[in-house]
Amino acid sequence: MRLGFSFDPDRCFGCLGCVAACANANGTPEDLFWRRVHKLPPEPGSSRTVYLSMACNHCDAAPCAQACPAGALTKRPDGVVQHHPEACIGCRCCQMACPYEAPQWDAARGVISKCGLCHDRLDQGREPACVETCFAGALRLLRLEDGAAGGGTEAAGLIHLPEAGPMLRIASGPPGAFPPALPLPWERP
Amino acid sequence: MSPRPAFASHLPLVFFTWAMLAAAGLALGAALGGPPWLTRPALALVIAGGAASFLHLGRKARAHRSLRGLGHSWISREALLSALFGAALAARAAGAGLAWPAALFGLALAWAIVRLYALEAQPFWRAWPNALAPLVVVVALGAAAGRRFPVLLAIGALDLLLVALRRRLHRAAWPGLAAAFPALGGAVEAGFAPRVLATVAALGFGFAGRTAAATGCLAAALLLDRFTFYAAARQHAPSARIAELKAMRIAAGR
Amino acid sequence: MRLPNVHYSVCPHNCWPVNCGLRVEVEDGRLCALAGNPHHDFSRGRLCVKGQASGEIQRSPHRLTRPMKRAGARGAGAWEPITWDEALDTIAARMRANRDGGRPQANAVYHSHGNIVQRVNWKVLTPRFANLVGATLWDGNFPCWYDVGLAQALTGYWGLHDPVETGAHAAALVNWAQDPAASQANMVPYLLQVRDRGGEVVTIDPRVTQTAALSTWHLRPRLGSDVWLANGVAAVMLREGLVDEAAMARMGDGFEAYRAHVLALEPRLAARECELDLKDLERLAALYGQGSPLCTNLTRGALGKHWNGVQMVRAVLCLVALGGHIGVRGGGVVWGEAVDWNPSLQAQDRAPATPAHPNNFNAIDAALDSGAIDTLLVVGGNPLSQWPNLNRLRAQLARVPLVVVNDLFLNHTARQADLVLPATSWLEELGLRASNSRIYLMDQALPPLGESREASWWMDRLARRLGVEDYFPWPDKEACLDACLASAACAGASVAELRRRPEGMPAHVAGVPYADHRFQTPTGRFAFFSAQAETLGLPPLPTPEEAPEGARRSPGLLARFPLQLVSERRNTHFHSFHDSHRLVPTLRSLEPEPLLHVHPRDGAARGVADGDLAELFNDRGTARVRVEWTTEMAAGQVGLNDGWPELNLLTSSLCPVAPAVTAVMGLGGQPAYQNALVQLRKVAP
Repeated sequence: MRLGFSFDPDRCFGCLGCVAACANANGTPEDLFWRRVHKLPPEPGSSRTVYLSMACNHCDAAPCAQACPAGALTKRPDGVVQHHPEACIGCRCCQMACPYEAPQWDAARGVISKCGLCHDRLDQGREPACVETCFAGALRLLRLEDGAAGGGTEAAGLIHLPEAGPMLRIASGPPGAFPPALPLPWERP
Repeated sequence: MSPRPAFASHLPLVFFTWAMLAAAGLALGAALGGPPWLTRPALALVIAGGAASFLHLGRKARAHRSLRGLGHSWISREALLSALFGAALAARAAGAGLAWPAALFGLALAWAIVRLYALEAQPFWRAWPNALAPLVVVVALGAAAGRRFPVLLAIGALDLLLVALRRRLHRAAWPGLAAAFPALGGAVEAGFAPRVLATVAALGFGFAGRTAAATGCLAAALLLDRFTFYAAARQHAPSARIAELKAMRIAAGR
Repeated sequence: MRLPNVHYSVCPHNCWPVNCGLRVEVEDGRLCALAGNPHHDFSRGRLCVKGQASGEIQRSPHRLTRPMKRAGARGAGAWEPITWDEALDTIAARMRANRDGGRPQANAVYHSHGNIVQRVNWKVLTPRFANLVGATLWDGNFPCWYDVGLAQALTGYWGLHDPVETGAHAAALVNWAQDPAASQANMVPYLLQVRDRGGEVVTIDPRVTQTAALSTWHLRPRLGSDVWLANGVAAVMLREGLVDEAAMARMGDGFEAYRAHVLALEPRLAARECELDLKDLERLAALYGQGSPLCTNLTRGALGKHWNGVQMVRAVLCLVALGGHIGVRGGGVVWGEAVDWNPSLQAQDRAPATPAHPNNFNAIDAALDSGAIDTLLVVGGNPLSQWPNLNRLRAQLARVPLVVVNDLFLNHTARQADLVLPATSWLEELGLRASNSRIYLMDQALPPLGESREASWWMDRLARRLGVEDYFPWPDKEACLDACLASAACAGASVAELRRRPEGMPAHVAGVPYADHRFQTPTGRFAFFSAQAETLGLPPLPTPEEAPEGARRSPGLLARFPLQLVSERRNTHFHSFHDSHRLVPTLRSLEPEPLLHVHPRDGAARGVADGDLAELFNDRGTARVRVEWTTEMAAGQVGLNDGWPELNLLTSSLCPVAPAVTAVMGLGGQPAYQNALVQLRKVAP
C-alpha cells in the first residue's frame, strides 16, 4: 500500500484553502507552510492560469530519507514519509535532497518540519486536511496497491520527476492544461 | 507564494566543504613528498571546518546522531570520514603515523563530498563537470603541494577544461533563470575569469618552484568553486521552474 | 478524559449568498480546534483559506478588550482605558444634545459587514436601535450592492436562485462580471458541477480571473461595455427568432418598447463598442436562447460599482427574461438571500418618515461635507478603508465632533476615532444565519473576551440613556432570536430546535423562484420598460452611458492617468476585515501587502519591474503598492484587492444615483468604484 496525492490542475483555482487547512489542522508556526500553491500566469491571449498545489509527495525511494544522517526521516508501511522532529539535528540536508521543496525550515526550533500526510487523521479514517477542504475536488488522496502505477501522468513536465518515485499523480486534463516538459539545461539546442 | 531558491545562505557549508577539500589536497601533497609544514595547516582546516559544520546545525546537542545514517546517507559517511581524516592528521602532527593514511582518508572524504552533492534533485550539481570538479582540484592541490609539476600540469589542463565546460553549462542553464534570479547569474558569470586566472597562476608558480604560492592559488580556486557551486545550484524545484516558465510567458507578453 | 465542548456556528466572514458551516471545540474558555461543519448542506465540511484561518481571529492577542478613549490627538495612537459607563455617558450626552436641539439625525449609525456576520444584528437589532433613537442609519449595503438592488427593484425581479439547484440543473452558467473562485470559493463546487455535466461555464470579464481559468469560455469585453453587450445579444436573439415574444408580452410591461429599443441597435455596432467579434455576441445569444436553463451569476455588487451599473443590471435581467430562464429550475439569477427574519422587529414604523440623510453615498458625502453629522457610531465597518476617495473622507471625518468605533481590532477608522468599544467575536454571541434553503444557529461557544460586549448590550444601555426603554424587550438573547425567527420563511424554527440540528433546519421558501411569474413592481409584471424609473428621472429602458472619468469622456484625464483601476477580489481577504487581515497571521503571510496586478507591457513601459515597490497615483491621492506582473490583466488596466485602503485613496466620490431616488426606492447610491483613472511610477530608491 502506498499513499500520496492526486492533483487535477484543470480544477484547481488557487484558492489557498489547502494551504490554510494544513496550517490549521497541524498547528504549524506562523509563516511556515507545509503545503504551497504556485501560480503560472497564462500565455498571452490565453485564459489558462495554472495552479499547482504541492506538499510532500511521500516518494517511494525518498531522497530526503536517504540523505538524512540522523534517522529523522523514515518510511512507514503505508508509504508515508514521516519526519521525527525529536530526532532531527537541523542539518537541512533533506532540503537539498528534495526535488519538491517539501521540508520546511523552522528557524525558531532549529529543525525541519514537513507534511506527514495527516497520518493521525488517516488512522481515524479521515482524509488529510488539505484534501478534505478542497472545494474543487482537485486534490485527492491517492491510494495505490504495491505494484500499481495509478492513472494520470507521472511526469507532468512542470515538475522534474526523478527516479525517486514520487507519489504524486497529475490528472491529465485537456491538452495545454499543463505546460510541456522543460528540457534540462544542457539538453537545449 | 513567491519563487525563491530554497536556501539563501550556505556560507557555513561553503566554508566547511572548502576547508575539508583543501585539507585533503594538502594531505595528498604531504604523501606525495611535499614539505613537512603541510600537516598542521591541514589539521587546522579540518578542525575549523568541523566547527563550522557543527555550528551550522539547528540542534547542536544532537550532533552525535549524524552517524546514524551510515547505511544510506553520504552525509553520515562524510561525518565519519571527516573524523577519521582529522584523527590521522592529528597522529601525523603528533609525530606518529605515516602520511598516506591521512591522504587516503582525505581522498575518501573528497569522494564522499562528491557523492553527497550528486543529488537527484540537483541535476546541475550532478552534471559531471560540476560533480567531479572537487576531486580534480584536490588532486591538483596535492600535486602542487607535493611538488610534482608534471602531474600538476596534466591535472591543471584537465581543470581548465572542466571550467570551460561548466561555463557552457551555466550559459545554457541560465537564460531562463536570469529573468527570475539575475543577481545570482551575474555573480556566477563574473566568477569564471578569476577562476581561470587562479589555475593559470598556480601552474606558473608551480613551474617556478614556488610551492606555497601555487598551493595558495589552488586553494583560492577551490574557494571560488564552492561559492559558484552553491550560487549556481540549478534548483529544479517547482518554485524555480515556475519562475522560469512565468518569466518566459511574461517576456512573450511584453 | 474530559472531552471538549463542541459547538456549531458559521464562518465569521460575510460571503454571499451562503456562508460555510463551522464546528468548534472549546475547553476551559479557550478555543481548541476549529474546522468545517460536515453536516452543512452547502459547504459540506469545507472551509476556504479565510475560514481555515478564522481560529486566529479568536486567538489574536490584538483583540480590543476594554472601552478606550483617545489620550492625545486623533490618530496619535495613544489610548486610555475607560469604563463602559463613561463611554456610553459620553456618547449619550452628545446624542441627547443633538436630539434636544431638534437635530436627531445629526446622530448617525453606520454599520457594515463586520456587523453583518451576525445576521440578526444587521437585519434587526442595529436598525431597531437607530429607528428607536431617531438616528440616521447608514449601512454597508450602499458600497456593496445598492445600485444592483435598485435595478432589480425597478425590474421587479430578484433572482434568488440557489447555487445548489444551479449545479444540479443548469445547462449553462454565465458569471457576468463575477469571480466566485476569488470571492466565494464555496460556490465553485456548483460551478464545476455544471461543467462536469457537460454544461458551458462562461466568464464575462476583461481580466483572466480565477473563475475565467475554470470556465469553458472566457469573454473579454471592454471594461464598462456591459449594456452594449447585453443589448447586442438581445438584438441578435430577437433577430434570429430565439425569443418567445408572446410569452414576454404576457409576463412583462413595455416589452414592445424594449423590443423596439433593442432592435434599433445594430449587433455589429454593439460588438464594436464591446471590442468583441460579432460571432462572440452570436454565440452568447445562441447560449441564452437555446431553450435549456441557463443561470446567470450576478451575485452582489460588481456591476453596481460601475457608473452605468443600474443600466447594466437592467440589461442583463431583460436578457435573462428573453431567454425564458425566469421561473425555471436551473435558470434565473443567483443573487439574493431567500430567507428573511421577522421584519416588524426593525421598528421601521418609528423611524423618521423622510430620512434627512438616506443611505446613498451622495447624501452621505453631502451630510459629512456640510457638517450635518455631529456624532458617528461605526459598528463593524471601516469607512477609512472601504469608502471611496479617502483623502476627502479623512478631512470630512476630522470635522465630525465625536467618532465612535465598535470593532474587534483597531483598524484605519478606529485609529482616527475618539472612542473605541470592544466587540464580541462571532463565537462569543448567539446568532443566526441562513443558506438559500436552510437556517443555522451560530451558537455561543465562549464567554465575551475581557470587557467586550455584544452590540445589542451597549445599544440597549445607550438607548435607555436616551429615554428609550423598549429597545431590548426580551429576557435574553435566545428569546430575541426566537422572536426574529417568527417570519414566514422561518416558521417552526427556534433556537432550542436549531441547537439540536447541526445540519440546520429547512426554511419555507419557494421551490423555484418566480415560477408564478409574479414580480415586485406596482403592476406585478416584469418591467422591460420601467415606468417607475421614468418617474424618478432614470432611463426606463437599459441605456449605455460612459463614465465621466473614463477613457471615452475624459481624454484629458486619460492623458495624465492612462491606466484604469480595477477593484479585485482575492481569496485571502474579505474586504478590510481584521485590519486588512494583517492581524490574522496565515492571511498576512499569504498576502502581506497591497499587490497590484500589472500587465507586463505597462510595467516595462514605466520601468516598474515585477516585484518592485511602486506608486499608484492620481489627483485624489498616492498609494504605495507592490507590483506583480501578470498576463492575467488586460493592457491598460491595473488590479488591486479591495481589502487594502490603497485602492480607495484613488477612487472618486462620483455616485450616479441621486438621493431622491433612494428616498423613494430605498435602494441605489453606490459609489462608482470601478471608474478611476490612475498612473504608475517607480518609487525613488
